[in-house]
Amino acid sequence: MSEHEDHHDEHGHDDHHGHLQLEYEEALPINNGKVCLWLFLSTEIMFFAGLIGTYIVLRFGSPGDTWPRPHDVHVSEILGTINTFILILSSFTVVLTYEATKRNNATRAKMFLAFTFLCGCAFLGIKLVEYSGKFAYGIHPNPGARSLLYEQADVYYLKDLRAKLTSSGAIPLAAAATDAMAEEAAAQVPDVTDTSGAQSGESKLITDFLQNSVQWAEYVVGRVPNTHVDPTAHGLNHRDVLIAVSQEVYPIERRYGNLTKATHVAEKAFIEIRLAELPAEQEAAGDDKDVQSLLAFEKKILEARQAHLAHLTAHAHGEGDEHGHSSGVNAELRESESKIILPMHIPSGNMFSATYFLLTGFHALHVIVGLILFAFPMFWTLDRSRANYIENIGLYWHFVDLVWIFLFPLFYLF
Amino acid sequence: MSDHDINAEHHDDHEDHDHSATYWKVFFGLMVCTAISTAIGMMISNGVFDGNELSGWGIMITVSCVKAFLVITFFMHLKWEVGTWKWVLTIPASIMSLFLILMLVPDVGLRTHHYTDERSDRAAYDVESPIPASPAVGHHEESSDDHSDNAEGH
Repeated sequence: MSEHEDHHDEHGHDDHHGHLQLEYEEALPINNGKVCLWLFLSTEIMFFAGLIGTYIVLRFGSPGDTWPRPHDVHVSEILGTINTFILILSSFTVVLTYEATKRNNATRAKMFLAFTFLCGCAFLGIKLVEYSGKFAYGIHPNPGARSLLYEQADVYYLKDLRAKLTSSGAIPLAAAATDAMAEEAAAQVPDVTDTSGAQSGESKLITDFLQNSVQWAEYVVGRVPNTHVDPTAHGLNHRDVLIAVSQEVYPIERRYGNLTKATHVAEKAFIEIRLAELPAEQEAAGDDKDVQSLLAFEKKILEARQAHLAHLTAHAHGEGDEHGHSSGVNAELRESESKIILPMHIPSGNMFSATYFLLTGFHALHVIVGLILFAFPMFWTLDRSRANYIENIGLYWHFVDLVWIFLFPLFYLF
Repeated sequence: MSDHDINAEHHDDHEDHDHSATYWKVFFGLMVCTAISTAIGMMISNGVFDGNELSGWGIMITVSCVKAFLVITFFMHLKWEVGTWKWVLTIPASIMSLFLILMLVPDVGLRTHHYTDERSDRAAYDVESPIPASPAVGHHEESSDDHSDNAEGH
């Protein structure tokens, strides 16, 4: 009993004199909001570091260093640079907003905040233009039905190429349902060269390409044995011919320049030898109508390709082919305002588009969140009491800028 | 009146330096850095760095790191923050993000260095000899040719 009483007394005593003072020590010299924001940002650092790191590792570990260069996939440095400038400018104005808020200068703060908001919108607008440009070329985040990216120049690529060309309307649809084997495919293609005079520029281009290159590739795949181990076998192989044809569609000069030139040389030699052999075979065939027509058709393909090769080599010295998208059948079709974009052979193209859309998409999502955060204080009076909020959204916005600082060179300049 | 009092109080609490001049300098620094990056990127795509793109990429990443440093130090005013909390949060996060990248290197980054025959058959590209050194065709490795034969035979 007495002990308890003592205890009480003690307390009463202390309280009365005010000697027991609880000392409140701040956990951190900053407010709780800022602590939470920095915690959030440190998780964001890891989030984006994981994504960017994955991209870096995939990009530099691509098989045979095949990762497409920015120009190969229509990534524009100019747009990227403009967007970088816009983001830096907005980062700068958000800092000025914070300074003005701290100084209780509400009108000045509101002005800078509105400018920041507009910068964010401009950034998203340019992003939209970039994305729609990619979609227009058949570059999609997932290799689905709409994607025109082919990792390999193989028979599937060739098949899709023919399907796209024939569905353009230049060739009757019957020819679309065809096998990759040369004889069958070739037999179904009607001879439209005679009427080419009446055709528009675009459909003539499509027809020419179909007759000169696609049919040739089908011929090689179907007829020529794919073994060039034998040094006397003209050096033609399927893969190189398919790549050479894919280069005519969508040239990536930096990577395939040598290969396609060498293939053209081999093709020329092969065609010459084969054309020299044909008359003897025709004589030997005698009255056999089927064989005769087959040989006549073979001769037609060989001659068409021969003429086309001469045309290609003549053109190769003309225009500069440094930028992949500035030449090729695809570019010519684009110029004639066509809706048809042919399948493109871009090794590692799908991996590129997946990482590109994922990273820039997540970044754009963060920009959108930032814009929402900027939208609220637009309706407030930005006096000193709002300084903490402005500081925190500023920190967030700087982080968004920080991510872009790394995304910009990695995607637009590497 | 009360408003003014609050302001005065806050004024005492905060170390209220005017950093505007610094911000302008940082802003221009960032702009110059971006211009440098873009110039180097355009040089690379125009073939100036042909053969040693790696040095160009290195410069660009260095420039990016400088930009990141400027933004973190001045715009996020970490320079003027007091206390150890900033290191407690940022350093572990940065180290962990570095390890995240490093963890991906053996399995993802070096995946093409250890291609099995099965995988190189299906690679988008001739993994062994990406670009023929001489313009003459027909000197590919016998094995790689057989692989491509198999892949196309489907």
